[in-house]
Amino acid sequence: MLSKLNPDQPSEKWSTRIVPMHPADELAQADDDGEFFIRQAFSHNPRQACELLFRQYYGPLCSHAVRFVQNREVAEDLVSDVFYAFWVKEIYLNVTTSFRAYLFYAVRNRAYNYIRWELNRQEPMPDDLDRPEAEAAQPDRLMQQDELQVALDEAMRQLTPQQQRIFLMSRFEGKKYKEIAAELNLAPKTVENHLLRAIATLRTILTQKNVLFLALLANWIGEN
Amino acid sequence: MVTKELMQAYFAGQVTPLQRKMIADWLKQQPANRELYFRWLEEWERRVPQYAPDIDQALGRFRQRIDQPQTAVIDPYEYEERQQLVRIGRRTWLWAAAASLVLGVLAYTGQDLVWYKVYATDFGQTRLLKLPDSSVVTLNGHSMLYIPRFGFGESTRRVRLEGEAVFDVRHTVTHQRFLVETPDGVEVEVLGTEFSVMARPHATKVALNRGKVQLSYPTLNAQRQQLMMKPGDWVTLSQQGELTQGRNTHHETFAAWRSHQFVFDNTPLREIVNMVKETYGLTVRLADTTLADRTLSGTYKARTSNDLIRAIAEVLELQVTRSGKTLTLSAIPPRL
Repeated sequence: MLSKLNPDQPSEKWSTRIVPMHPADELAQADDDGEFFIRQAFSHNPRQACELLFRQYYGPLCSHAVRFVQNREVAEDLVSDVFYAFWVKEIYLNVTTSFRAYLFYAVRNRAYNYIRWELNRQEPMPDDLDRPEAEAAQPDRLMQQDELQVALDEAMRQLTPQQQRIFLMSRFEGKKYKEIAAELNLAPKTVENHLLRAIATLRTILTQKNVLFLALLANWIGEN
Repeated sequence: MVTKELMQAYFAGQVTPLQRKMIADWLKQQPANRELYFRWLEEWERRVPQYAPDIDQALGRFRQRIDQPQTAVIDPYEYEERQQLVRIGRRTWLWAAAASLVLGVLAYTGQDLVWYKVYATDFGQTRLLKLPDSSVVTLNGHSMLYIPRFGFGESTRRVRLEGEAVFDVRHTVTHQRFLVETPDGVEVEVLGTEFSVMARPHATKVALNRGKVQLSYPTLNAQRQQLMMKPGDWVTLSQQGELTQGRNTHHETFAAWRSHQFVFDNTPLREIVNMVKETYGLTVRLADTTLADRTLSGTYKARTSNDLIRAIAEVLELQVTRSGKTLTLSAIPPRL
């Protein structure tokens, strides 16, 4: 897994967040989810509000998505897709939770769908993952997704050091087989084999742990 | 008591089964707890981020994407079919036997419909499709896209296009190939990129917006030629097998039809008339053969083919007459 980026660093991103200025006053009470101003902005200028939201949550959402999909590029595409649907389908008009909750569970649902497709070649679930209602974030589903994320993290640790290294170079640094091969003094074919074996290992471990696919699928069908 | 500290340990996968149970119960207690859950999740992601993405660049792309008008809703791929699969009950074997018989007959009679799911657009209609691998295809008017029902995404991703479309291909972890075939044997191979393909009877044209593609096309002596394209490049293969290459310096000329724009750059009227016929099914006759060589430059915004022809006529100072489904462009007779 990626080494956690310096956990003690007091994140500078805090300064870009919208925080109530006087925590004790009425405004702050209306703002108990920290999104009072953004909600105001949506009634004046939805476009601008959407961009504000993007600026505020894009970073943490990508970081979260990558824990599931293990691929920077895919994570970023996924998060952008969620914002795109949010804007085009005017989901912001119907969100019953905070925007934060909506965006996080929409990203998680999509990320989850993606791994199913990638590791198990299962058809993606029907594409109504962007439902604005709070029911889309069922506690059970949240917990199962968390379990999957932790299991993925553990599975990654079980790869050989070489597999891990190649996996990260390919997926986080976006390097091509040839570049990795040159850097590690290997044949491109060997690099490809390492990568395929790494994915196969992940698949096996996750299936053995049974954290995932079938249980969740049953759950999904049961809900409908 | 569920505290922020406990939740952070939980997100990091460091809780006992007992604590996990406590969190599950807490989540179910009231919706406000779910809000807290996401609030703490966000804090955790900010405190121990996996990496720091480039937000400005992403926001720029996002703006570009929402400024691009869309004309149709994304189709959930084969949604109804999957619903039915789930409902098949105990008699599955019987259905399977019946189905294989039917499939056998169909496979014999109409191969394409068995092996491919076909998406088609009418004249003048555009449609946005999402493939099972999350690649997005925008189909222009009078076009057909064939997607294999079986095996798409297993070893390669291969589709067939008749007409015109823009492909926004999703990169996969295994760097899986994405291939577009056209009826005249041109193959476009990509890893993950945005490009447009036009496979119309009069010519085949490929233009690349982002990424890298490899083009493979048949030549007259039946040997295949390979060609690597870079962003901004376009390649045209005429009916006679002649290849022309060029570069677009202006980004907006790339598949402008998606936003109902038409970009011409010294384009002969002959080509415009072909395009209008193949995309909109509107036949435009040129009264005088010398008209065919007159050229047009600039960007035109038009909702319908009629609007486009009117605009062109105005610029070139021609007159338009209509009889049935055919429009005729002719020089305006000199005033006496």
